[in-house]
Amino acid sequence: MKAIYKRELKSYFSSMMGYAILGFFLLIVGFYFWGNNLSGANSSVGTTLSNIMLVYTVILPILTMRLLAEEQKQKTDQLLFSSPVSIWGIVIGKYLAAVTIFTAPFIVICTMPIVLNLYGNVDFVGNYATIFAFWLLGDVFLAIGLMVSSFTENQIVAAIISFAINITLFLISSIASILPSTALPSVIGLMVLVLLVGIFLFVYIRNIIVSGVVVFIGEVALLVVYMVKSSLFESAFANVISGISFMSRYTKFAGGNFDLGSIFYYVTFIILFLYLTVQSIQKRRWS
Amino acid sequence: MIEVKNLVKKYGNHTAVKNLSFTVEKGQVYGFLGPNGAGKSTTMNIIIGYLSATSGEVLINGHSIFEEPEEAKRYIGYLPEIPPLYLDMTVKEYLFFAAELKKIPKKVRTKNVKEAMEMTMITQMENRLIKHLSKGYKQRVGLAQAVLGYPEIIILDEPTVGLDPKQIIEIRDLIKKLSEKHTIILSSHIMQEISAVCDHILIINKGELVAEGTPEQLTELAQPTQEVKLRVKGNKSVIENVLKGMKKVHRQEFSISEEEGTVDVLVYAVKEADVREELFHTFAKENLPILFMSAQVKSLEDIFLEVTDESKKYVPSKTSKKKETKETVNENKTEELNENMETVESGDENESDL
Repeated sequence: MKAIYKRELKSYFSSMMGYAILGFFLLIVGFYFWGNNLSGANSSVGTTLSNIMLVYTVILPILTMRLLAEEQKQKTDQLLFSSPVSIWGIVIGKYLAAVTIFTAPFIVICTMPIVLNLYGNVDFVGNYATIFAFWLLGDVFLAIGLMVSSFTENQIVAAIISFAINITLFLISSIASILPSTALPSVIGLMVLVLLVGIFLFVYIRNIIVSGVVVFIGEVALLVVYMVKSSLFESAFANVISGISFMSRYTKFAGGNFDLGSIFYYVTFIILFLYLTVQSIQKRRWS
Repeated sequence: MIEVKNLVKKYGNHTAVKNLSFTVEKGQVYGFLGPNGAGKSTTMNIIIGYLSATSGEVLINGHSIFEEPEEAKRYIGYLPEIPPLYLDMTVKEYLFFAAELKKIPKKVRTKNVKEAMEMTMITQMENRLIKHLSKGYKQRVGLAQAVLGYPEIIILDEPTVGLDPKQIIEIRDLIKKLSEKHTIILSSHIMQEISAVCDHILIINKGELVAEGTPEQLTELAQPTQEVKLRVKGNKSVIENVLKGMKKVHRQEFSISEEEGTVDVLVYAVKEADVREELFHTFAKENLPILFMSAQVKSLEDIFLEVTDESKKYVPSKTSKKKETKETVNENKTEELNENMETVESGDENESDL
C-alpha cells in the first residue's frame, strides 16, 4: 500500500498534471476569495467555496482518471496483482495518493479565515467546519472517480464518465426543486430511478436475472403502494433526489450548522465507492 | 512447490483451460509448450493470482492462491508476456518500487536491486527512463523485477519474444544461471527454446495437457520403435531375407541408393534392445558389408506437432510411478504408432538436429 501510494504521488509530479491541477485550483480559489471575502467583505469562506464547487466536477476526474485505467492499459496491473499486496491495499494506496494531492491546496484555503481575522471578527469553528466538509465532499468525488477509472482502460473515457456523474450530482438539487410535487410524476420518477439502479446492477454483476428481479420487485412495490395510498408520493421524488445530493449536505455546513450526520454520510459513500472499486477489479479477474 | 489440480477457466462459452493438473517440483526448469492461444498465459496468470479460475485449485508451497493470495504470492516472481513497466519511471525507481511491493525488507532492498540489475546487465541503464529503453532492455528490466528478492519460483511468460538472436542467447544463459537456485517455469511456442533450457516439458493444446515429461521421456513416448538407417553392399533380395530372419526387426523399407551395388534400407525394430549390434554381426556373418548405419531420433518438434495437431492424449508420466506408466504408455503407443506408420511413406524420415 505504501509503495503504491508513494509511486502514485510521485507520478503526479513526474508529468505536468499535478502542478497544472494544483495551480489551476488555487488560482480559482484565490480569485473567488478576493472577490467574495476580501472585496465583498464577507467573513465566511463558505460562500467562496460554494461558488467554486463547480470546479470540482472538472478537476477531480482529471486527478483520478489515470489511476486504474492506465494500469490496465499498460498491463502493469499484472505486477500489482501478482505481488503480495491485497486489492484493498492497492485501491486505498491509490485513493490516498489522490487525496493527498487534492489536500495540498487546502493548506492555502485554511489560511483564509486567519487572513480574514485581520479585518474583523471571524467564526473560526464555523469556517473550519465548512472547509472540512468541502474537503470531504471532494474526497467523495475522488472515490467516484477512482471507481470509474476501474471500469475502463481508457483514461479519457474514465474522465468523461466521472465528469458526467459529478455534474449530475451537482445539478441534482436544482433539478429536484423544479420537479412537480404531485403523486403521479413522483412515482414515475421513482420508477425511473429503480430502473437506473437495475441497469447499474446489471453493468456491475452482468446477471440479467438478478438485476431483472430487483427492478421488477422495486417497480411492483412502488405501483402497489401508489394504488393503496397515493398521497405518500407527494413530493417524494424531490425529497429522495435532494436526499441523495452530496452538495445540499455541504450547504448545511456553509449555513453554519455542524452536521455530524452529513459527515457520516460522506464517509459512508467514500467507503461504498472504494468497495465498489475493489469489486470491479475482482469482477475483472473472474470474468 | 506448485500443485495445480483440475484447473478450469471459462470465458463465457469459451473454455481456455480444461481440467489441467500438474505438479512442479523444486529446483527444475519447467517448460510450457503450446501453440498460440493454447492457454499457456491464462494458466500462468491463474497460478500467479492475476486471474481467478472457474474451478480447481492452485497450491504454492501449500498455500492456496485463491484463499491465501498474499502468502502464496511471496514465493513467486513473475514476468508477464508484456513486461509490466511504468514508462515514466527510471529503471532504478521502478525496481525499488517493485522491491517494496514484494515486501523485501528495507535492509536488503538496495543490495537486491543492485544484484538484480547486475544479473540482467542493466546497471548502466539504471538512471534512464524506461520509456526510452529498447525492447530488449525493457524485457531485461521486466526480468530483473521477476528475480528481485530471489523468489523460490520464477515464472516467465514468453521471455524471449521480440528479441534478437544475441539477446535470446543472453536471456537463455541467464535462465540457466537462475535455474541453479530457483524453480523456473517458462512458456513458449518455440520448440528450440524449451528444449534448450528445460528439464521438464508440459505440452498444452487447447487448454489441455497433451504430453508431459523430460525431453528424453517425450522423445521415447513418441518413438516406440527404433529406426535404423542402413546402407548395405549387396543384393536386395538377399538383404531382405537376412532381415526377415532377425526376430527383433519387424519391418523394413527399401529405397534406391546413390551408390551402385548398394541398397538403402530403413529398419524398424523393437525398442527394448538396441538392434544395431545384432545388425552388424548378422550382416558380417552373411558377408554383407554395412557401409553406413545411423539411428534416427525424433526431434521434440515432431512430437510437438504430433501431440498438438492430432490432440492425442499422452498419459503424463509421474516421477513416482514412472516405470509402470511409461511401459503402459509404450504399449499403447506402439500399437497406435504402428498403425500410423503403415500409412506413412518412407520419405517421411526425421533426421534430427536435436
